[in-house]
Amino acid sequence: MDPEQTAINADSVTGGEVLASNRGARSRRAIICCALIGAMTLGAGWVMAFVSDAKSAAIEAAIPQLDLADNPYLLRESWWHEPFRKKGDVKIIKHQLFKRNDYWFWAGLSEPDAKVSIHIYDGAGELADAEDWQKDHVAGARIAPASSGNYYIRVELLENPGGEEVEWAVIYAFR
Amino acid sequence: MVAGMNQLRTTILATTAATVLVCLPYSAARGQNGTPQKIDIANLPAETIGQVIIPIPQEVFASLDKLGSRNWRGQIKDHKIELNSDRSRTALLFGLVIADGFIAVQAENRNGVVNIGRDVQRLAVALGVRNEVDGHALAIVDGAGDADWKSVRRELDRARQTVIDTMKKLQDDELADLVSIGGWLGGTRALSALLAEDYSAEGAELLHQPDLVNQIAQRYEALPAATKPGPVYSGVKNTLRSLSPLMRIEAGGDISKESVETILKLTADLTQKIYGS
Repeated sequence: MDPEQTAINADSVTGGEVLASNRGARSRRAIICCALIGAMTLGAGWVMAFVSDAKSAAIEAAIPQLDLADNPYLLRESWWHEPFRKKGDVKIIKHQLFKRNDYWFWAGLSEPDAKVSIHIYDGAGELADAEDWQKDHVAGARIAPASSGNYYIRVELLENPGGEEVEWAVIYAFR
Repeated sequence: MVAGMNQLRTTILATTAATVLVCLPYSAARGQNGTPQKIDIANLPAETIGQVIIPIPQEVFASLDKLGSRNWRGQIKDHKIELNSDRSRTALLFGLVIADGFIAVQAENRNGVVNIGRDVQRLAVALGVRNEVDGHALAIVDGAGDADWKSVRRELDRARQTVIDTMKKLQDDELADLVSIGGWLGGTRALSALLAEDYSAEGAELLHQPDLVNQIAQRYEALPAATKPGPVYSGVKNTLRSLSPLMRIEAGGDISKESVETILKLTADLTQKIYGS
């Protein structure tokens, strides 16, 4: 089975929907995501041991933007994650990027009712998003770096109606 | 000229319209939600994440390829891996082999990639992570057979990440770090070799990795001494420290051909020592 085709089919099944309004939906989302990733890698005999809710949300947000049919982004396996404790919490990730590549970063939260944002800053600290979007517990930002070097990814917990600790995850892809 | 300008204007308008359409379903525009237009990087908050993700060689190779074709075949090295009981060396070798895999994919060298897949299997056995990595190793070999280079690149990254995750699960965090360092070393060696062969300031700019090399050096130096027995490991430390000033561009400057050649010598010597130790 072509894993890229699998990804496209799975996305069409979910209609590219990245929202879930309750815990049941969140679980379904995690199951869909696990199944998707499992299917993508089944041919390799790899079994996914664990996918966090936050990472699942980020991956699900990423899939429609990976341009799998045409000029695909390569989604990195590595990811960042930590907890947010309260609304307004900000995390900064320092990361090396390379000129001429195009990058997407996606943030996801474990709590569907919470709200997150993600933005990218250059080595001088200037906002450098080529485009960005935010939709409840997931968000994305794209950058085409003007030079190679350090960049800063800023993730913020915008809303947290539940008031409890929320896990965040950031993944990225390049082409 | 006018027609060209009109065409350009049409393209810009179309692109802008497409971007607006793509962004319409989403609520955030730049500046909304109090997004700062600038952050003070000299005074980053305590919430800066310590976890460093080292770019895979493919990230830098993808950029280099956009400057024109390169002699990737010339970068394929036929290393014979003699394993010993030094697990730290095995971890470094795992990272180096993954980097060699990305090079072989760039060269679209089927036999080279198949051999890499087999080396990945052997090294995974030596690291005690065979079950976790076997599927990826087989997928690398199969992908090479089908010339499915996208799949091979994905599986190389997955094999690397699986070893790192498994090592961390087994409380072998230091070996996980060494896998990452080996991968970065192999990628940097290949990049500097290609640039030394066909230098351009634009290409050499990819070696501008000022903080990354320092972060790698700090992580390496923080590893327990028992993880780094013998002269090869002091060589790693010295090489990383020597690379740091070379991989930095001061305002308006370039990374010179001489610096590229020094980076190549340092990384090639260390790679050879790791394979040969």
